[in-house]
Amino acid sequence: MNKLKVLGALVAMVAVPQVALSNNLGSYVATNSTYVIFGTVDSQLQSGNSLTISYNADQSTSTGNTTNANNIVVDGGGYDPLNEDTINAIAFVQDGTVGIRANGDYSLVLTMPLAKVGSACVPVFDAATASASVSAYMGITLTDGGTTVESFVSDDKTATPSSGNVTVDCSGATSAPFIDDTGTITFAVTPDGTTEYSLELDIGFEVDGSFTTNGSAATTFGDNGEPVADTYTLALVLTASTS
Amino acid sequence: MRKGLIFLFTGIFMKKLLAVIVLFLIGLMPHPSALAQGFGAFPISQAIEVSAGRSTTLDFELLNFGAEPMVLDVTHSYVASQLSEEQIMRIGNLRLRQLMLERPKSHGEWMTVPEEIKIEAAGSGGPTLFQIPIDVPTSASGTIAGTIIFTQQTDALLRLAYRCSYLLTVTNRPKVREITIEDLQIEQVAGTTEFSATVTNIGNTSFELDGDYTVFRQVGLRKIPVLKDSITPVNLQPGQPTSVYKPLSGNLASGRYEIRLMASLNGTGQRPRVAEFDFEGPFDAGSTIDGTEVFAGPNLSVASLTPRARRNIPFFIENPTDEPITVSLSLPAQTIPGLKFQMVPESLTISPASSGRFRLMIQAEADFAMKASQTVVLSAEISSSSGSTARHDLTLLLSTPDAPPQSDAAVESATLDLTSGTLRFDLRNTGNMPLSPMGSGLIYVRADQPLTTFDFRVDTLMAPEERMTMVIELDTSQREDLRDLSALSSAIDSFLGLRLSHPKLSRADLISTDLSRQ
Repeated sequence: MNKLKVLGALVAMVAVPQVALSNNLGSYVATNSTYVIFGTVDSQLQSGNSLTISYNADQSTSTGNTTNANNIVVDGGGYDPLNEDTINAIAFVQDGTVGIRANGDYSLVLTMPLAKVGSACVPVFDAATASASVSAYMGITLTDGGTTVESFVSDDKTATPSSGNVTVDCSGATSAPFIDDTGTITFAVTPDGTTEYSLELDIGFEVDGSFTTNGSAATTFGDNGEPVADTYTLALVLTASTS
Repeated sequence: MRKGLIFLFTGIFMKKLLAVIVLFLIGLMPHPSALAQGFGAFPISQAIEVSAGRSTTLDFELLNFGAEPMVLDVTHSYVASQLSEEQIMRIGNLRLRQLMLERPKSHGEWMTVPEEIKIEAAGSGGPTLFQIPIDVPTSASGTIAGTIIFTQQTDALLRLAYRCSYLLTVTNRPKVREITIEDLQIEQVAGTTEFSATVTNIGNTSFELDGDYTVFRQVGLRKIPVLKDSITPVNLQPGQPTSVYKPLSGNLASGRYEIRLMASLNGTGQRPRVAEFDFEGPFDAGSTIDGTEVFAGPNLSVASLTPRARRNIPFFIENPTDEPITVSLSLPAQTIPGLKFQMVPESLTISPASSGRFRLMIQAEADFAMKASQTVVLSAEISSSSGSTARHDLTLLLSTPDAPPQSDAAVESATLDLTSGTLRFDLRNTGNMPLSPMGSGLIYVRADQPLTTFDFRVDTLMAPEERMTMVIELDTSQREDLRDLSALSSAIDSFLGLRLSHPKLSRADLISTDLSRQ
C-alpha cells in the first residue's frame, strides 16, 4: 500500500514539467556570440498549409457579404469552424505562437505569398488556379509578455506595419498574377540584452477578398468578390538571421 | 526462514517491478522537450580565416527541441565572384588561362554542402555537429561571404529556418579593394530629397565605404557648388551591390545639377565619380526675376554669441538669369542691446550665371547680456537691369550659452474627419529656433493596432511659438480605409502618433496625442 503511494508520488513528479515547459526555448546560452532560438511552435501552426474552399449551394446565386450568406465550406489546414470570429473573415489560425530568445539584434523574415495591390503588399492564400487568390487577414505581433514590440496587420486590401522596423517586399509581383510567392515581411528587432519574445499570428481569409490578375481589384466571383472554389495554400517560412 | 525468503523475494520482486513500472511510465511520458517543435542553429554568424591551398570546415551546432528526429534542408546562398580567377589569368600564360577558365567560378565550388541534414531528437545526446568542408584553392584570395540556410522539412503551415552568415578570409594573399558606382543621383523619395547610389564591391575583400559628395548647380556653362555632405559609412561585402542613401542636408531648387562623389575605401581615397541629372524640386527655393529663380541661402543660420564675441555669417546669392542683378542685404530691423551688425558688402552686382557672397559681421560688446535667443530676418532686395525686382528673406537665430538652440514641437488638437478621411492637427513650434517640420505619422486605433501611416513636409519656416494647422488627406484611393476609419467612432483610445525628422530638429521621439473624431 505504501509502495503504491510512493509510485503515485513519482508519477506526479514526472508529470508536472509537461505544463511548465509548454513554451520550451531550451537551455542554450551562448556567451561570446549572438544567438537566436526558436522555441515551441503552436500546434495550430503545425497543421497543414492548405485549405479547400467550396460552397454548399450554387455559388452564383447564394453568395453575399457575410460568412453565413456565402455558404462557404472550408476543409483542411488549421481551420476551426467554431472560430468564425467576424462576419467578414473566417479564421484559419488564432493566437498561434512561436517563442523566440535572442541575446542581440536580429531579423525575423516571414516568407509567404504576397499580392501587389496598388502600392501595398497584401498576404494572400494562393489558389491552384493560376489567376486566383484570396486575401488573408494577417495579424502578426511580436510581444514582450503583454507588450507589443512590433506588429503587422493586413486585411482586404491594406497592410499596416507598426513602424519603419517592419518592412514588406513583394517586388516579385510585377506581372500577372501579381503574386510574389516568396514575398517577405521583415521585423528588425533590437532587443536590450537577452530577451524572450513571442511571435503571435492570427490568420484568416476574407470572404470577399479574392483577386483577379490585374493586381488591384477584387473579382466578382459570386456577388462581390467571394473566392473561387479551389484549394488554397499559405506556406509560411519564419527565418531568423542577423544583419 | 521460508517466510523470510518469501518476503525477501517478494521485496526484490516488488522493487524490480516498481522500477520497471516507473521506467515504463517515464518512457510513456513525453520528454519535456517533446512538446516543443523548435530547433536552434548556432552560431548564427561566424568569421573564419584560412590560408590559400588549405582545408578547413564551417562548423554548426544544430539542436532539436522536438521529440522526433528532424530533417533540415540545407541551402548555400552566396554571390558568385570571379576575381580570384582573373588575378591568376593576368599572371599566367595562354595554357594557364585556358586551364583557369575551367576552374570553378566561385567560392561556392570550394564548399561541399549537403542538401539536407538529419538532427536527432531532444535528449539524445546534445546538439548535432554539422561540418561543411572547405577546400580553399591556391589561387584564392581576399574575403568571401555567404549564408547557410537551414529550413525544416515539413508540410506544416509554419516552417522555421535560420540564415547563418559566414565570412571567410584568405590570409596569405593580397587584398583587392575596388568598387563600381551606379545610379548616382539625387531624387525625391516619399517627400524627402535623398542622395543615393548603388555601390558594388568588385574587390576580393570586405571594407568600409566612406566619402563626401558635392552638388553643383549648373548655371549656363558654370557649375556653382550649392551643397556638400558626407555619406554614412557602410561595410561592403565582395560582389554584393549595396544601396547607399542619405537625406540631403539642404534644399535644392529645380534645375540641372552635377554631383561629385569622393569615395574612400577603408580610408583610401578614390577618384571622383561624377553624374549629371535634372532635379524637379517640390518647392521654389528662391525668388524670381523675370520668371527665373534667384537662389539665396542659407535660409536659416545660427550664431551663438557671448560678450566680446565676433561672428561672420555668410550668405550667398546665385544669379541664374542672363542679365546682371543688383542685390542689397538689409540689416536686422531689431535693435539688440550690446550687438552691432555690419553687412559686407552692403550691395553687390552679380553677373549673369554667377554667384555672390555677403558676410554679416556681428560684434558683441562687453555688456552684451541677451537672456533668451532671438530670431532676426534679413531681406535680400534684388533688382535687375531691366527693372524687375524680387525679395528673399533669410532667417538668423541668435543664441547664447544661456539659451542654446533648441528645436522642439508639440502636436495639439488632432482631429480626424471620418467622412472625408482628412486628418487635421495643430503643430506648435515649442523650441527657440525656426523649423520647417517634416516627418511621418501613424494613426492608431489602440496602442497595439496601427491603422495607417502618412508622410508630411512643410517648406515654410515656423517661428518659435508659432502654430501651424496641418491638413493631411489620407489616401482615399484605398477606400477600404474609410470603412475602418468609421470604426474609430466607437474606439475609446484612438490616437495619433507623430515622428518629426527635420534635420535641425533635436527631438525625434514619437509625439502622441489623443485623436478626437468628427
